[in-house]
Amino acid sequence: MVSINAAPLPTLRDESEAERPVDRLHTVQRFGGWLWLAPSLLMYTMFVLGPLALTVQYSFYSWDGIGQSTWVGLDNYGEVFKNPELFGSLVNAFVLIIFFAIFPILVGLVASALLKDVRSKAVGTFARTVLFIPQIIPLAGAAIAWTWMYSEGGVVNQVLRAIGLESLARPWLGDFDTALPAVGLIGSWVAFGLCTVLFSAGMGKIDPSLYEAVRLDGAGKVREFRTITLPGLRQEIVVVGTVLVIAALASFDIIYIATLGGPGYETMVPGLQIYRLAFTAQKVGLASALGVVLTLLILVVIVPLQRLRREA
Amino acid sequence: MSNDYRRGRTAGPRKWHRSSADVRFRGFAVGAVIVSVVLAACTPGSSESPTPGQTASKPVSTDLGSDPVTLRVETDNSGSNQASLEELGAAFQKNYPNVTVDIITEQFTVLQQNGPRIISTPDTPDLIRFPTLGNTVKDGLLANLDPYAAAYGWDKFPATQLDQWRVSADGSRRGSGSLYGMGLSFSLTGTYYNKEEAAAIGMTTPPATVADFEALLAKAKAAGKVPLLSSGQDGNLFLIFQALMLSEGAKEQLSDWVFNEPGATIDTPEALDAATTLVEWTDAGYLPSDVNAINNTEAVARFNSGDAVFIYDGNWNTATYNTEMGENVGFFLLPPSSSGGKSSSMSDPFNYVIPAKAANKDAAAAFLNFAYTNEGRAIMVETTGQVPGGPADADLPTTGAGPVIQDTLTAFQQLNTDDGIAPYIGNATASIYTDTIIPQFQLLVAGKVSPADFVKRLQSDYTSQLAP
Repeated sequence: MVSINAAPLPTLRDESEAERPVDRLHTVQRFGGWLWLAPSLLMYTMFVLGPLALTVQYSFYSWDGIGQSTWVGLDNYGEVFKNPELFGSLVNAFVLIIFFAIFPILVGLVASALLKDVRSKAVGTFARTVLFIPQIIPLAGAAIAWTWMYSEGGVVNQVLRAIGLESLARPWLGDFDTALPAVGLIGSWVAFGLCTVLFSAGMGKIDPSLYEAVRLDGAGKVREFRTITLPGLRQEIVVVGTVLVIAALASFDIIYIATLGGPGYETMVPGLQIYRLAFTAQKVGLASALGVVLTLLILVVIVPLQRLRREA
Repeated sequence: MSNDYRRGRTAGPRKWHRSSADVRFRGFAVGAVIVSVVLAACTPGSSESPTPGQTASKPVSTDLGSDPVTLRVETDNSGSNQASLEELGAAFQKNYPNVTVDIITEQFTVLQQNGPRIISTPDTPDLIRFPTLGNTVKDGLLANLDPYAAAYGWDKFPATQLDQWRVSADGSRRGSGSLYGMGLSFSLTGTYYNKEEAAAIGMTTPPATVADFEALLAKAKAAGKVPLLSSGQDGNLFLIFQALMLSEGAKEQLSDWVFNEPGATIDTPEALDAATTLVEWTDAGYLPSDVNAINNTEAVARFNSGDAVFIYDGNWNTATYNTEMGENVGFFLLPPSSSGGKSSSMSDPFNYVIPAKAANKDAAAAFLNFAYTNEGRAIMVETTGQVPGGPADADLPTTGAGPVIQDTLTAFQQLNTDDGIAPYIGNATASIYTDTIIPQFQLLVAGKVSPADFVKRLQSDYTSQLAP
């Protein structure tokens, strides 16, 4: 192997340079870049690509995780789409996008737009801190606190009873109709702070003269928001959207703590299902197949989102 | 990969600069080659078939000699487990001075889910709490305890104490075959009652039939109390359902089902009756309206606070009830459907196994056996409030710990005499508890599935979960 010292740092070259005859130096240059990449490439291969390839491989087998395995072809994938509970968990994950991503982004936009106009610096900082706190609390802790609030005698029902809406009071997480929205709202609450803080920072970067201009044109708050703020925040919205959509589709912790997928199968999500299939049911193959399907679905949703950002 | 590279070099004068499509193709080719090499390299899992049920190569011994031995025992850190094992270990060390007992603890769910991996390593603990059989016998991970059972006389214990960890040679059925696990103590389910509240609704002695019990539930409801607590969020409703089946004498039927006897079914008149009764009790308000949102911790807390007259629960909570309610709590088994019938209830060993790769199998077996001596039994009762294992005619440890603990000991003795121990339906397959029992019971009491469809679903899930 050529010593690294002999290799100049690889640089971007233009066409004329590239026309030079191939020589030893170029061989070095050709592989010098890979040499620099090697450490991280090795890690990436070991901890990301390797497990990914193994998951794909396992998904074609029937295997308990320890003993002998049997090749079953695409049977596991067939099971993912045929079994109503497995397929239903994928549907639930998409419903959660509304609560984990869309809802907090909308509320975050409104909140940060309002915060922008708060004149007192102290009040603004205070408000941002309060809004950001849910993001700091570990998800498991947040889920436990919310299960208490949602219980039959919890804060949510106490408030409803106090304002005379007794008929609405119910065990929110145990009710077949409200369980999924109820856990979804826990996710909204957690993500809302992140959205607000990122959007506030994003608004700080928008040229103030743009606001001045639109105001001189006689625009109101709503118009100002639509023509200046929203386009200015495009990057941030796409980034937050990407992170939160992934969090929704791959959700696990909130569901695991709050409902365990119940009542019935109402709040079952693929993340929890994969964990159970692999470790409780010892069906590593089926768990892997569901994992691969989930990964592909996430890519299908995320890739078009990235296009939105590039157009910005 | 290298061919591709050389072809590029020999194809005449070539630009150093490659088109991005070319680069992309090369990247793809490299990736494809790596993936296919990985895929072709091996199939997952062990390549050779283990010999299930293989016996220890070395003859077993009840003599631990005098060389120093460190016995590593792994258990879950819930409840009083660690404290009780430490006490048992200290007493054991006094009897075997050359043995040091080292207690390792792990969270229950971690132990349950990583158990097979923990015992497949060369530095496995010598004795480990092991709740789920899974494929461990088939995969050759557990030591066969038959020689120890013969040497220590465990085979003279009531058969129902050992049945649940007897496994057929191919690992597919339980209830008969070689012994692979033993409990240091046993679980037991039944009805706990609040003595003050029970007296207030006129209960002087525990009910003699299910109908008597139902009449008490009606009185409790009329008195404005919660008659019967359970936790639907974590699936404990199945305990009531199964106790109702047992009251109709379905013990053999249930045992066959849990032990995976070929052709066993739960789609039976007894199961349908039990499901129907459970729905009737829910509709009549005998169970709390939010039972599906209650988990075990909350159910226990509500019972301790005096809200309810009865709770159907297991003796893993006896110590808590005893501490919180003292003299005011008692225990009885759900009675048979007709007066004078034999008692029957669910019980299983708090199970420990000796891994096939364990270094100190003899010491591990001696430790298990120590738990069945009078000294060991007394320690297990005092520290856990659970019922100890051992021969049917062994002296009941007398304990000043509390009347409810004494109640459970007496009830367990009665079950041993009546041969009434049944395994839990939650253990019928590795995943039936989480995948079927928890959600299906929630659907049943919410009226979203009929008792008939519910029973059919239990059976169809069971069949598909057992399919290889």
